[in-house]
Amino acid sequence: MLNVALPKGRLGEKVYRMLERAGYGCEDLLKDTRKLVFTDETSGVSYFWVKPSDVTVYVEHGVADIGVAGKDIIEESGADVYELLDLNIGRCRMCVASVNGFREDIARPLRVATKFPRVAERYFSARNRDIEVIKLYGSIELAPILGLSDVIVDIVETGTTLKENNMGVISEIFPISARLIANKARYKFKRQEIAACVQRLSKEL
Amino acid sequence: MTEKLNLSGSEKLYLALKGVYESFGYAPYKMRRFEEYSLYADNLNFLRSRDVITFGDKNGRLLALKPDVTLSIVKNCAGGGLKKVYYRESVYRPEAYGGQFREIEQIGLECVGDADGYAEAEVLTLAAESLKAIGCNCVLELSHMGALAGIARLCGRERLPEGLVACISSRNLHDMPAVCAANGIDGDIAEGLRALLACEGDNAQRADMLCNVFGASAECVAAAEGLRRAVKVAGDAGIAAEIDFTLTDDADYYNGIIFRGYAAECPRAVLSGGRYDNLVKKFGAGSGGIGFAIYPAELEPYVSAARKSDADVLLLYSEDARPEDVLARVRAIISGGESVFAAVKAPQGGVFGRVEKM
Repeated sequence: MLNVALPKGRLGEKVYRMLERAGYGCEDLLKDTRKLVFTDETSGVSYFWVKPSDVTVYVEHGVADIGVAGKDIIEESGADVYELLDLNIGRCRMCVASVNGFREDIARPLRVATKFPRVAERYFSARNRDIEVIKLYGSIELAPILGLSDVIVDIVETGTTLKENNMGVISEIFPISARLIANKARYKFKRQEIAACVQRLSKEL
Repeated sequence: MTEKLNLSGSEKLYLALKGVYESFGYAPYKMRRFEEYSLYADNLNFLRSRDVITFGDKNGRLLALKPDVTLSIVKNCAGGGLKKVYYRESVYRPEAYGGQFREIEQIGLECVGDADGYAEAEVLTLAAESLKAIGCNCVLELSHMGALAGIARLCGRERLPEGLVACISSRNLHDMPAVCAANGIDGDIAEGLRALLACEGDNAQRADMLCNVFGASAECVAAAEGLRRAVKVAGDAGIAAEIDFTLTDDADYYNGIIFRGYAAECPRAVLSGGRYDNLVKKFGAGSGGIGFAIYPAELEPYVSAARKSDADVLLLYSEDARPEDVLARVRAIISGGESVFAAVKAPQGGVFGRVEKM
């Protein structure tokens, strides 16, 4: 039996459709129900929906053998997990962005507003740039517009929101897509099951 | 005897391991809870976390609560040939989540000095025996620092780029081509590395693949040979071993065989070790060293038998009862093999097998 943590929302539903086509269907999963855990003995899977940012936690703690998380979540969490497959969905980019015409003052620390402080710290420390991280939980684009920060580190999908707010991408940090992750210890004991799942999912990409 | 002593699972495990380690000539090693901070400041890459609890002593020296045991042992084992020691110590490290410091128990051993091929086989045997002592389905994961070092040398580098090592340790084969290309790694080497990590064959096939793909590197060939020997040692000790090249560690310190132990019910490695000749040489403690540690906290599913009750018997005595009579009844209950909680009133929230009044 494979325990699978799926991210709630559209991405999770898309991932489930892939898993279903790969032979890991579970009849009740997409039904409107208050159930939290869905098991299908025939397919040999047990699914549970979790908040997208919690998928790495469930997998790293071994409650889930495998799960699906965005590369942004994996990088920010620093979870010690295997990253077995790029599912090629939910594509976007982690970027540094600011208002158009922004000119960096290198005489002082750069003020960075972000939902991803670890990603921002790592990116700028690799460039030996001193930064002041301003952790926000939403509407990140507002920060440089109102002068709360110099730049933002955030996910950019189409860039439309940036454009509409007279902002632009300064640099790309890494591309993002949904990844199949696995707990390292569980992988040792369920290697064949997990490898079979990876192989079958690969055919659905 | 141990049942009568009411030993915890962790204590029983320690006693079992103590017997095994001492039979191989390992001596108990006790150390202080703190060391001079400079020991850790000079060897930060050896630590799992760079966060260390520090404090000053009355002479102005900066001390630290030990975040690691191996560094202290190697530092204190300089000179006098081969030293074989085992320990049960606490280390102080922050949690991965939340960052709060925790006191973490470690049981382990170190073979420091001129640790040769026999010492390596002995330590691997003891690692396997330690996993067996847990009494569950365990796997010993094996890798060799020489494999990645040899591949790096074939790329004309001292070590592989950080981004590529991150891909290797997370078994991320999909991002690997781009990372290799961005770091100027030759396409053939990149493809060979991908094939090596993707190899689903048995241990012999994995070791052979390292030789076949990177045979131009004497280090890779030697690593494959070392891994074959390690697999045999683990097998002879009755533990399943698995060569997995995604297992990596810090190349500044580790240079030979490295290993992790996994237990079926535990979500993380329960045992971790390796050969650290570079560290031993750095401290002038000889030519090599090898050791490992077991983390009882990670073995919770096996070693923590949750107590169903606070005691078997709640003995409620009246306020005017004579203490010697109560004590006599308590002794009688204990001699009957039960535990007892004696009080005038039942404690709030207490759970007991039965209640006796006197």
